[in-house]
Amino acid sequence: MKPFLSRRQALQEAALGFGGLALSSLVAVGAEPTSYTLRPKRPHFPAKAKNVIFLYVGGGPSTIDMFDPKPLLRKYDGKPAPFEIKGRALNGSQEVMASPWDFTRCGKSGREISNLLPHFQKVVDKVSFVRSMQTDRIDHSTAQFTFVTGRGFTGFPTLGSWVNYALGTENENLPGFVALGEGASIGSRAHSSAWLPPVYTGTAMRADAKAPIYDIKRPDDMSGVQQQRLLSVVNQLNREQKGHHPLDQDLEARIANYELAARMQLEALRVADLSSESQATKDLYGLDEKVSGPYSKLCLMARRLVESGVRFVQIYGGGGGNWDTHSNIAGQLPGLCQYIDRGTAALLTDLEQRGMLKDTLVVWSGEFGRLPTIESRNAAPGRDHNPYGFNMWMAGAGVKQGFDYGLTDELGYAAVPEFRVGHADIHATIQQLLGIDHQKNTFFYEGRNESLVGVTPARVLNEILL
Amino acid sequence: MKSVDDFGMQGDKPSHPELLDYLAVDFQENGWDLKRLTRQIVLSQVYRQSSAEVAGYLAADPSAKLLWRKPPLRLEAETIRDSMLQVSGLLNGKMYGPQEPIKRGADGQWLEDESKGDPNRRSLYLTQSRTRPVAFLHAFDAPTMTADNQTQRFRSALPTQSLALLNGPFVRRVSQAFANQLWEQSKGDTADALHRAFLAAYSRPPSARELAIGQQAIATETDPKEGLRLFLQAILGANDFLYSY
Repeated sequence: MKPFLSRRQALQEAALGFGGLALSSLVAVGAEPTSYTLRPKRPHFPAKAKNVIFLYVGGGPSTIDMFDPKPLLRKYDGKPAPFEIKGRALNGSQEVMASPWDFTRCGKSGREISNLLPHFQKVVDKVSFVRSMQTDRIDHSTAQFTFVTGRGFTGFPTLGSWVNYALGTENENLPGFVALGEGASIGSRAHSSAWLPPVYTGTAMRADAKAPIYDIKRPDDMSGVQQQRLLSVVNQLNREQKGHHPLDQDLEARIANYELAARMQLEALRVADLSSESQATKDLYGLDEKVSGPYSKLCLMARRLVESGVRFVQIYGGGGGNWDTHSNIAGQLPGLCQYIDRGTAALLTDLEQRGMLKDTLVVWSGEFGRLPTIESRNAAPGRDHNPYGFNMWMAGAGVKQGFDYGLTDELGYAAVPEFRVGHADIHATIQQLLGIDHQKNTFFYEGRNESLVGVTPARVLNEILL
Repeated sequence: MKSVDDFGMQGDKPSHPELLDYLAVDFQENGWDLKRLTRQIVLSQVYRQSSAEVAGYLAADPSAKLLWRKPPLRLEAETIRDSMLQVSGLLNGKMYGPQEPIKRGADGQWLEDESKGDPNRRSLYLTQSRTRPVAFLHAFDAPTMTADNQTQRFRSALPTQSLALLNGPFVRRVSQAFANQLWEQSKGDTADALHRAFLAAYSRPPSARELAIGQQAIATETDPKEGLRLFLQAILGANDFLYSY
């Protein structure tokens, strides 16, 4: 037997399927399981973070207009850039555009944050910026794939799936990986487990108290008593069947699943019901605000999910390509920032107040940033994609507070080479915080031990870690 | 061969190399006739084995690598849907033509739009879209075509599948049609209806105990037809339907 298969086999043999606790005696028979499990597994080394909330802003948010002011942009506003700005050969120009917004120096860390983000300005001390991000993809879908799967094309498992595969989840009454919102233009592929077993796929949930998961709600014309009877009859039929196959654990798992599904109905609906939150919390998030309310609801639901033991929550923020401000950035960006600002800040404050921030890693990023130059001089000006230099931030478990790592050049165009950070470094760092060795978290696929990072060189960003 | 996507150095070794050789040579010598090969395999004694458990064999060879039995396998997503349509009498056998439309259901899930096109055809004819997977099929591991070449289906057992079987609009629609059909055929004779139900769904008559479970389920509801419908939903959601033995 090939030695590198041993880990996979070990995992398979450890895997009992849902409800597997009752089955331990059967596994002693040595049956090779056909299903994988979400039962909690030990990390490779002690973890600093238990859970992750990944705020993923698809479309290419203009971080130079949000968190990373560059005084030189003012100096060269309307003039040619002092060095060549290479973008895509579309409508690019060399004409610099200063940020149309003012920045305010905030908090103890004294960092300048755009006045478009008044709520975030108040919590900025909690986060560490990585100011020298770079990605190798310049188009949305390929860059989005890169940021969530490590590869610039479709068909690879996402970060949340890898984390669940490595660690399982604390609450089997809920999925281990939940995707909230519908802002990713790559659709459900942004939370797919691809060729990792489907148990690790992100379950799409919505901030809808009535239908947070597909089929979660009992149909209106079926009473609770009827559903209980239905469950009981299925159970009786399965027990009959089980009598003929007493050693089959997959059948046992399915029997357990009905009971779990029934509990999940209650649990998922409970988590999605935000009405039980205190008035103070509701006010903090501003749930009824017209622009920011919908995103605030996602953020609050993320907190409730993590609180209930969901390992990885991914929020797609910003409504698809809206952040893709090729033109009229002055008209578009304020509304986009308003959409995410209050919920994001409230989430950090709320997690901290509840003592959850020390166990929960919050990550904020887009797939790339935007250029310091004007894309089109004819229409209202906007900025084109910038994969060469942009900002992202992390906060919470195991991450320094108020720390900055790296920088871009004086125009905010490209990451300074010695500080360059790629998606693989972020993936390695997130896994490190969760106690996962990114090189050991592998799955045997098509003749290789595949991992999230793959063959891309990856470095844990120890500088931003506590 | 377990590693169907890798016949190379890093793939698994075949469990029966001589048998594989024999089949390969025979296949070539008979004009590369796939239909003949398939028939040859499915008519063989080894393929037609039951899935009965023999504790000693199971301990020695749990996954039946040595082909001592047919291990139980959960049906693939499309087969589950198609079989449900078939046993309930809804299946539309029309072949060929363009894909059938899908729509968003009340809770946002994608499902067949039976008000348009030719409804209730085999799952093969449903619209396939990477970003709009039909929720029922996706729950049972139908790929969303994100992995470009999925050589092997996962056969997971997840609570979300149970949710689809308990609350999903498709199962509800199918069990209603199934109940209507049986009610008509049996003229309200519940024992006859149950007998027909087991024959249709499990290809065997019910045991005395299963019949009693059915009678009890029907009797518990005030409306016996609704009782039958609920029982049929249970039949379609039970392991005997979802697995091949």
